[in-house]
Amino acid sequence: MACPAKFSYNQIYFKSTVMTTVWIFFLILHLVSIGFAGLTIWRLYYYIRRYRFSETKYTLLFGFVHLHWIAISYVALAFTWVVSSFLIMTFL
Amino acid sequence: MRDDFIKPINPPPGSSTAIEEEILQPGLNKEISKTPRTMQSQQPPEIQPEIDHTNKNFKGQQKHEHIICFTRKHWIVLAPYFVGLILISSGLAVFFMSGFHKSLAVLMSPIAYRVVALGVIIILTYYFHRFFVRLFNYYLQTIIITNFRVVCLEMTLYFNNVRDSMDLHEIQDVVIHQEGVIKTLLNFGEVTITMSSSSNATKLLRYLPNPEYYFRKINKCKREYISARRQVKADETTK
Repeated sequence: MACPAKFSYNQIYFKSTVMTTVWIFFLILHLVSIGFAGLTIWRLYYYIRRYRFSETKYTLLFGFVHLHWIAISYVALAFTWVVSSFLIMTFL
Repeated sequence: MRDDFIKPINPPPGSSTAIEEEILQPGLNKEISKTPRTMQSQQPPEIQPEIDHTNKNFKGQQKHEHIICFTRKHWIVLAPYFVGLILISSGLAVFFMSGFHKSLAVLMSPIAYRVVALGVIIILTYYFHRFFVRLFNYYLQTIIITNFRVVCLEMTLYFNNVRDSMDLHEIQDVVIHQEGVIKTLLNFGEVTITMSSSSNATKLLRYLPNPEYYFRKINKCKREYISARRQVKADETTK
């Protein structure tokens, strides 16, 4: 008996395949993203712990921005971006 | 080259007070420079710890090499990145707040819409990481004045590790360039260091904040380094 559904089997299969591929790409993207952020932070702290400088307000960015603050915000924003992009992909 | 005869100049190397005192009170070190050199040499020398692998400030630092001061480039080099970030953030905010994404969703099929969204997310993720890596690179790229030399570290987190050093006794001339409204208002400029070698090589330190200070500091360190070398040579000949 012919299927009375709106979409044919091929269309449904195509849609599900594309969506699965999109989500796989999304997953790989954020795994790479989080991994890269972790590697970056590791390399940064490896260097700055080995070679230390006594910072002053004349050597900091704008006179007050510490490197640790930027590193913390980088990690926090990397995870926030994963969640927010997931929400964008899900609820748009 | 002997590297154990130089004494640290006042104020103590590497200390933040060295920079702060001279910038906040420009006349403070004039008294030191006005005093005869013999009187300066009678002052008790600061005891500096030897540099080993545990307390190095940069790669390639010598055993008796101490940092007089260091700096990074002026924040103006980061301005294009911040402007780009603001433009992209405001563009995204306008896109979502104006409801344009809903009309776009009507025009496109859901699959096409998600594929486009994924593409945009990939681009934004790349830009996000690139922005922060540039910020970190900004912190790693330093110009260091030690009691022996001027070192430019063009270090990045990935793929780049360039060190350029100029011995103080080889510096022939130091020229400061601070032309234009923006450079004067924001107080940054270029310092050109000409070496006394046969090739007459020059090194341009670009986007240097407060170039007047570093111009004076390089000249001061050079004078003290050369006088200390002469003193050691004189001592050796008398012995």
